[in-house]
Amino acid sequence: MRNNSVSTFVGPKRRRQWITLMALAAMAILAITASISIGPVSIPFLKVWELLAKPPVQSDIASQIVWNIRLPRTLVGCLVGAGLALSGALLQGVMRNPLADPHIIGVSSGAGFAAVTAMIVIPNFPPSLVPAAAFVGAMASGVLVYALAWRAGVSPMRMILSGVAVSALMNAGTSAVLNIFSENVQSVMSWLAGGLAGRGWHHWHQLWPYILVAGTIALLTGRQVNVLLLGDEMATGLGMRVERVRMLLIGLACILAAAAVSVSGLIGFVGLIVPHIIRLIAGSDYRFLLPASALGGATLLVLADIAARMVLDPIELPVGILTACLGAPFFLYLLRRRTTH
Amino acid sequence: MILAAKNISLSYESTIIVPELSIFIESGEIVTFIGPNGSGKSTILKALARYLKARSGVVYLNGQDIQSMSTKKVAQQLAILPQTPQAPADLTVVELVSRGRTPHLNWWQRSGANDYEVVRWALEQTKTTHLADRLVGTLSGGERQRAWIAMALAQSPQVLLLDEPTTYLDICHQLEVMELISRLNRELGLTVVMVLHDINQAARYSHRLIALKNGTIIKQGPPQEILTEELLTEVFKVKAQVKTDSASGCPVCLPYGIVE
Ligand SMILES: Nc1ncnc2c1ncn2[C@@H]1O[C@H](COP(=O)(O)OP(=O)(O)OP(=O)(O)O)[C@@H](O)[C@H]1O
Ligand SMILES: [Mg+2]
Repeated sequence: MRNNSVSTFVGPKRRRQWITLMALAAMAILAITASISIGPVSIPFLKVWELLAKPPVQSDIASQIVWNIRLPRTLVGCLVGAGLALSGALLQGVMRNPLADPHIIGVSSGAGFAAVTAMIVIPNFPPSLVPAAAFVGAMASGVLVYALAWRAGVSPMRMILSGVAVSALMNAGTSAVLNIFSENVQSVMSWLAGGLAGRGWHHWHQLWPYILVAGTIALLTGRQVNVLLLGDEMATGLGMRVERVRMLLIGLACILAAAAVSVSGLIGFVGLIVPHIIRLIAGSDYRFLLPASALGGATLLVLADIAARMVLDPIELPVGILTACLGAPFFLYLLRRRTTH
Repeated sequence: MILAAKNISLSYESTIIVPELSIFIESGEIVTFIGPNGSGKSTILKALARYLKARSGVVYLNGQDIQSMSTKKVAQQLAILPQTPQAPADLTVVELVSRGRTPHLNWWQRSGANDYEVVRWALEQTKTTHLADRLVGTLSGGERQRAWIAMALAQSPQVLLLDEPTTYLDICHQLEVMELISRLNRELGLTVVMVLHDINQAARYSHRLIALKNGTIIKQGPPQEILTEELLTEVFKVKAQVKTDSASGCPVCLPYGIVE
């Protein structure tokens, strides 16, 4: 009876969190269905699930479109969105800074620099290896930022500052390469803008192991981040090995973002905005914020991809532009609503 | 001896703050550091809580070197409340206090009935039960301080380290916090090591005072014995009268001037 009196205080908030999670899951499923349904050949929602319920049929065009083109593209979109949003949520927690995101730790610019260099400078670089190059660049850049910020431990502020510096350097490198080798810049530009056009099963196979492993571990770190939010001294007082946990969390964020951008190119905003939106709706308890961000990121990116395909049909826009167009106004709306209370 | 520092020297980077210091704290004691700003009180507390590693010397908790113990093991026996703790804006009091259970849970464990019971008890002790679902950021200074103390209590420590627990509080709330600490000490045998700027309160509620200046102990002992006009002049550079409060038998000081 009496100890219930404490758990009831937690009640309403818990309920709100569960409802949000359920709503996000429902939205994700809807977005996935819509993404598979919409296109030059329109396939009704029910038909989508009918086709997905059985293995691909060679003779059926619709089945081929669903299984070979739209499903893999949509699933890659889900993983990229979830990876970026999780990465952003982790970084905002570790840095105790609401503006932290995968760009801040140099991951995106490192991926960009490595990919551009590989594509342009190395003759006959196989396109299928671009994601690998981008991943290596992203991780190297993340490690560099971490190392530069290290001085008997990594303070969030030093990490952000060295991230900004390394990002600037990498971006300068990218611009330099683009200017020096100005002939075949077209394909590179579209990679830099980020998008899901032409992403298929082989991208999925490159992506899912990283997101599965790093994502699963990330989802289990909610309580650690919660404790870290009380400050280093308090977290130590509560028995946490702060430096180690911080390194683990940054490492996870790095892997998630690196894997995501290596396949999709540079998609901004998802990592910054999704955790914010979730936080405004249902609070900053990381045990909830992390899974909700993953779902929200997947949904946002799939929706943005649908829009990217439809807005200027038959031309496809880079999805990164759409994430910004969809995310920013919604974000501002939430912010205003919050502050007028 | 529950907590002991033997010949520790402390520094930030290369600036030495505490050259060499030994402190011995008995179980069930209330010990208070007094000393001017920047004399190293917070620094010493951080070292006792293993947040700051000593350049040389060892801190012992229940006879074990605190740096060789797992940080979780330490956290089960010792809680610290820093001078300026921070919390996310949307954290409620009961959530904050529940964080205190962290060292008693493994990472895969959820809070159980026993943890809720301890949290409820900690709220009750600090008279914050009615604030349980308020946001920490919206509390008054005194309420917030009590909430943080509740969190430290939820850690079920044997030793509680408090850095200026009464700063920002009005006189009534100051006394409330001091009475709470004193009651926890009496009823639970909680060992308390704290930093206070109010010398009269320190004298009233502590078993022992440690007067610090420039990271060195000038004098230590029961308030009645060490709190003298000379000590105040030496440590704080103030002229003061020291009298005995007839009601409590504790020394009280009345500062009236500054030593040039
Ligand atoms: N993180 C730090 N890095 C470098 N120097 C520090 C740091 N923290 C404290 N110091 C310095 O160490 C000295 C002792 O500081 P400390 O915080 O221990 O003083 P204090 O006795 O608690 O003072 P106050 O009464 O103002 O809280 C001061 O000179 C301070 O400037
Ligand atoms: Mg201090």
